[in-house]
Amino acid sequence: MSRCRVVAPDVVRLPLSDGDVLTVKKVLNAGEYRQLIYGQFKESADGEKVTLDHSKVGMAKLLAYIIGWTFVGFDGAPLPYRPDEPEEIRRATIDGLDQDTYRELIAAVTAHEEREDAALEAQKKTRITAPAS
Amino acid sequence: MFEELEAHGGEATISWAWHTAAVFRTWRIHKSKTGPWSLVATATRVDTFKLQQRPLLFNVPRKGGYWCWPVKAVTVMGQQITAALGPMEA
Repeated sequence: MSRCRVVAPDVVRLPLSDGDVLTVKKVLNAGEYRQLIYGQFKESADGEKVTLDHSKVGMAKLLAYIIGWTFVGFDGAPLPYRPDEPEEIRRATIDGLDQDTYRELIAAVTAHEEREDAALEAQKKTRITAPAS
Repeated sequence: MFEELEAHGGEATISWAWHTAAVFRTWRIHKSKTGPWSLVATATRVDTFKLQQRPLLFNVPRKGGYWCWPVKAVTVMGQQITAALGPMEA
Protein backbone atom coordinates (compact mmCIF):
# COMPACT_ATOMS: atom_id res chain seq x y z
CA MET A 1 0.00 0.00 0.00
CA SER A 2 1.25 3.43 -0.92
CA ARG A 3 2.12 5.86 1.87
CA CYS A 4 1.53 9.60 1.96
CA ARG A 5 4.80 11.35 1.15
CA VAL A 6 3.59 14.90 1.81
CA VAL A 7 4.96 16.56 4.93
CA ALA A 8 2.06 17.71 7.09
CA PRO A 9 2.91 21.05 8.70
CA ASP A 10 3.30 20.08 12.34
CA VAL A 11 5.05 21.96 15.12
CA VAL A 12 6.97 21.02 18.25
CA ARG A 13 7.41 23.23 21.32
CA LEU A 14 10.90 23.13 22.80
CA PRO A 15 11.46 24.33 26.38
CA LEU A 16 14.24 26.89 26.81
CA SER A 17 15.84 28.51 29.85
CA ASP A 18 13.89 30.99 32.00
CA GLY A 19 10.58 29.36 31.11
CA ASP A 20 10.67 30.42 27.47
CA VAL A 21 9.39 28.15 24.70
CA LEU A 22 10.62 27.84 21.13
CA THR A 23 8.15 26.62 18.48
CA VAL A 24 9.75 24.82 15.56
CA LYS A 25 8.70 22.80 12.53
CA LYS A 26 8.59 19.11 13.40
CA VAL A 27 10.27 18.18 10.13
CA LEU A 28 11.24 20.14 7.03
CA ASN A 29 9.67 19.37 3.67
CA ALA A 30 11.82 18.97 0.55
CA GLY A 31 11.69 22.65 -0.36
CA GLU A 32 12.58 23.80 3.14
CA TYR A 33 15.39 21.24 3.34
CA ARG A 34 16.76 22.36 -0.04
CA GLN A 35 16.65 25.99 1.08
CA LEU A 36 18.48 25.04 4.30
CA ILE A 37 21.25 23.27 2.37
CA TYR A 38 21.69 26.04 -0.22
CA GLY A 39 21.57 28.66 2.55
CA GLN A 40 24.74 27.24 4.07
CA PHE A 41 27.01 27.65 1.05
CA LYS A 42 29.07 30.56 -0.23
CA GLU A 43 28.37 31.81 -3.69
CA SER A 44 31.44 31.28 -5.82
CA ALA A 45 32.72 33.71 -8.38
CA ASP A 46 33.22 31.07 -11.05
CA GLY A 47 29.81 29.50 -10.46
CA GLU A 48 31.40 26.06 -10.22
CA LYS A 49 33.05 25.52 -6.87
CA VAL A 50 30.82 25.71 -3.81
CA THR A 51 32.11 25.93 -0.26
CA LEU A 52 30.40 25.66 3.08
CA ASP A 53 30.08 29.04 4.77
CA HIS A 54 30.42 28.31 8.48
CA SER A 55 28.99 31.71 9.39
CA LYS A 56 25.71 30.73 7.70
CA VAL A 57 25.26 27.20 9.05
CA GLY A 58 23.61 27.99 12.38
CA MET A 59 21.50 30.85 11.08
CA ALA A 60 20.26 28.82 8.10
CA LYS A 61 19.06 26.13 10.49
CA LEU A 62 17.26 28.64 12.71
CA LEU A 63 15.61 30.31 9.70
CA ALA A 64 14.49 26.92 8.39
CA TYR A 65 12.98 25.64 11.62
CA ILE A 66 11.73 28.45 13.85
CA ILE A 67 8.01 29.25 13.76
CA GLY A 68 7.82 31.40 16.87
CA TRP A 69 8.83 31.88 20.48
CA THR A 70 7.73 33.37 23.77
CA PHE A 71 10.50 36.00 23.89
CA VAL A 72 9.64 39.57 24.81
CA GLY A 73 11.26 42.86 23.85
CA PHE A 74 12.42 45.83 25.97
CA ASP A 75 8.81 46.86 26.64
CA GLY A 76 7.81 43.39 27.83
CA ALA A 77 5.60 42.93 24.78
CA PRO A 78 5.97 39.75 22.67
CA LEU A 79 8.91 39.95 20.31
CA PRO A 80 7.34 39.30 16.92
CA TYR A 81 8.64 36.51 14.71
CA ARG A 82 6.59 35.04 11.88
CA PRO A 83 7.82 32.40 9.44
CA ASP A 84 6.02 34.13 6.56
CA GLU A 85 7.96 37.36 7.06
CA PRO A 86 10.78 38.12 4.60
CA GLU A 87 14.03 36.35 5.45
CA GLU A 88 15.93 39.59 6.07
CA ILE A 89 13.44 40.62 8.77
CA ARG A 90 13.61 37.23 10.50
CA ARG A 91 17.40 37.24 10.23
CA ALA A 92 17.60 40.75 11.72
CA THR A 93 15.35 39.70 14.62
CA ILE A 94 17.56 36.70 15.42
CA ASP A 95 20.69 38.84 15.07
CA GLY A 96 19.25 41.19 17.70
CA LEU A 97 19.13 38.45 20.35
CA ASP A 98 21.93 38.08 22.89
CA GLN A 99 24.74 35.58 22.21
CA ASP A 100 23.66 33.10 24.90
CA THR A 101 20.17 32.95 23.45
CA TYR A 102 21.55 32.44 19.93
CA ARG A 103 23.69 29.52 21.14
CA GLU A 104 20.73 28.11 23.07
CA LEU A 105 18.54 28.28 19.97
CA ILE A 106 21.16 26.48 17.85
CA ALA A 107 21.53 23.76 20.50
CA ALA A 108 17.77 23.32 20.88
CA VAL A 109 17.10 23.13 17.14
CA THR A 110 20.06 20.80 16.51
CA ALA A 111 18.94 18.43 19.28
CA HIS A 112 15.39 18.51 17.90
CA GLU A 113 16.67 17.75 14.39
CA GLU A 114 18.70 14.80 15.69
CA ARG A 115 15.70 13.41 17.58
CA GLU A 116 13.48 13.64 14.50
CA ASP A 117 16.15 12.09 12.25
CA ALA A 118 16.50 9.19 14.67
CA ALA A 119 12.72 8.75 14.82
CA LEU A 120 12.48 8.75 11.01
CA GLU A 121 15.24 6.15 10.74
CA ALA A 122 13.47 3.97 13.29
CA GLN A 123 10.22 4.31 11.33
CA LYS A 124 11.97 3.26 8.12
CA LYS A 125 13.29 0.13 9.81
CA THR A 126 9.92 -0.89 11.18
CA ARG A 127 7.87 0.01 8.10
CA ILE A 128 6.07 -2.99 6.69
CA THR A 129 6.81 -3.36 3.02
CA ALA A 130 5.01 -5.51 0.52
CA PRO A 131 6.96 -8.59 -0.48
CA ALA A 132 8.58 -8.40 -3.89
CA SER A 133 6.72 -10.43 -6.49
CA MET B 1 -26.16 43.41 14.71
CA PHE B 2 -25.65 44.17 11.05
CA GLU B 3 -27.92 43.13 8.19
CA GLU B 4 -25.07 42.85 5.77
CA LEU B 5 -21.34 43.44 5.94
CA GLU B 6 -18.87 43.99 3.15
CA ALA B 7 -15.17 44.79 3.43
CA HIS B 8 -12.39 45.06 0.91
CA GLY B 9 -8.70 45.77 0.85
CA GLY B 10 -5.26 45.30 -0.64
CA GLU B 11 -2.69 42.71 0.30
CA ALA B 12 -3.88 39.51 2.02
CA THR B 13 -3.00 35.83 1.97
CA ILE B 14 -4.35 32.33 2.32
CA SER B 15 -2.04 30.16 4.40
CA TRP B 16 -1.69 26.46 5.14
CA ALA B 17 0.03 26.48 8.54
CA TRP B 18 3.19 28.56 7.87
CA HIS B 19 3.03 27.99 4.11
CA THR B 20 1.62 30.70 1.87
CA ALA B 21 -0.95 29.16 -0.48
CA ALA B 22 -2.02 32.39 -2.19
CA VAL B 23 -1.14 36.08 -2.15
CA PHE B 24 -3.82 38.59 -3.11
CA ARG B 25 -3.57 42.01 -4.68
CA THR B 26 -7.19 42.87 -3.90
CA TRP B 27 -9.92 41.12 -1.93
CA ARG B 28 -13.55 41.59 -0.99
CA ILE B 29 -15.47 39.70 1.69
CA HIS B 30 -19.21 39.68 2.18
CA LYS B 31 -21.49 38.48 4.95
CA SER B 32 -25.25 38.60 5.03
CA LYS B 33 -27.15 38.36 8.31
CA THR B 34 -27.83 34.65 7.95
CA GLY B 35 -25.38 33.56 5.28
CA PRO B 36 -21.73 32.59 5.59
CA TRP B 37 -18.72 34.79 4.88
CA SER B 38 -17.63 34.71 1.24
CA LEU B 39 -14.43 35.90 -0.38
CA VAL B 40 -13.62 37.10 -3.87
CA ALA B 41 -9.98 38.01 -4.49
CA THR B 42 -7.46 38.62 -7.22
CA ALA B 43 -4.23 36.71 -6.70
CA THR B 44 -0.68 37.63 -7.62
CA ARG B 45 0.61 34.19 -6.61
CA VAL B 46 -1.23 30.88 -6.26
CA ASP B 47 0.14 27.53 -5.12
CA THR B 48 -2.57 25.10 -6.19
CA PHE B 49 -1.03 22.21 -4.26
CA LYS B 50 -1.12 24.14 -0.99
CA LEU B 51 -4.62 25.44 -1.71
CA GLN B 52 -5.82 21.82 -1.77
CA GLN B 53 -4.54 21.18 1.76
CA ARG B 54 -6.45 21.77 4.99
CA PRO B 55 -6.79 23.68 7.23
CA LEU B 56 -6.47 26.94 5.32
CA LEU B 57 -6.75 30.45 6.74
CA PHE B 58 -7.55 33.72 4.99
CA ASN B 59 -5.37 36.40 6.63
CA VAL B 60 -5.80 40.17 6.42
CA PRO B 61 -2.99 42.19 8.02
CA ARG B 62 -3.98 44.76 10.65
CA LYS B 63 -2.01 46.81 13.15
CA GLY B 64 -0.37 44.37 15.57
CA GLY B 65 -1.51 41.20 13.86
CA TYR B 66 -3.99 39.68 11.45
CA TRP B 67 -7.70 39.12 11.04
CA CYS B 68 -8.21 35.48 10.15
CA TRP B 69 -11.05 33.43 8.72
CA PRO B 70 -10.97 29.65 8.21
CA VAL B 71 -11.41 28.70 4.55
CA LYS B 72 -14.16 26.12 4.08
CA ALA B 73 -13.97 25.74 0.30
CA VAL B 74 -11.98 27.45 -2.40
CA THR B 75 -12.28 27.78 -6.17
CA VAL B 76 -9.50 29.01 -8.44
CA MET B 77 -10.23 30.45 -11.89
CA GLY B 78 -6.98 31.85 -13.22
CA GLN B 79 -6.01 34.68 -10.88
CA GLN B 80 -9.54 34.98 -9.51
CA ILE B 81 -10.24 33.11 -6.29
CA THR B 82 -13.56 32.63 -4.57
CA ALA B 83 -13.90 31.00 -1.18
CA ALA B 84 -16.47 30.20 1.47
CA LEU B 85 -15.21 31.30 4.87
CA GLY B 86 -16.06 30.27 8.40
CA PRO B 87 -16.62 32.74 11.26
CA MET B 88 -13.79 35.19 11.86
CA GLU B 89 -11.31 33.93 14.44
CA ALA B 90 -10.54 36.04 17.49
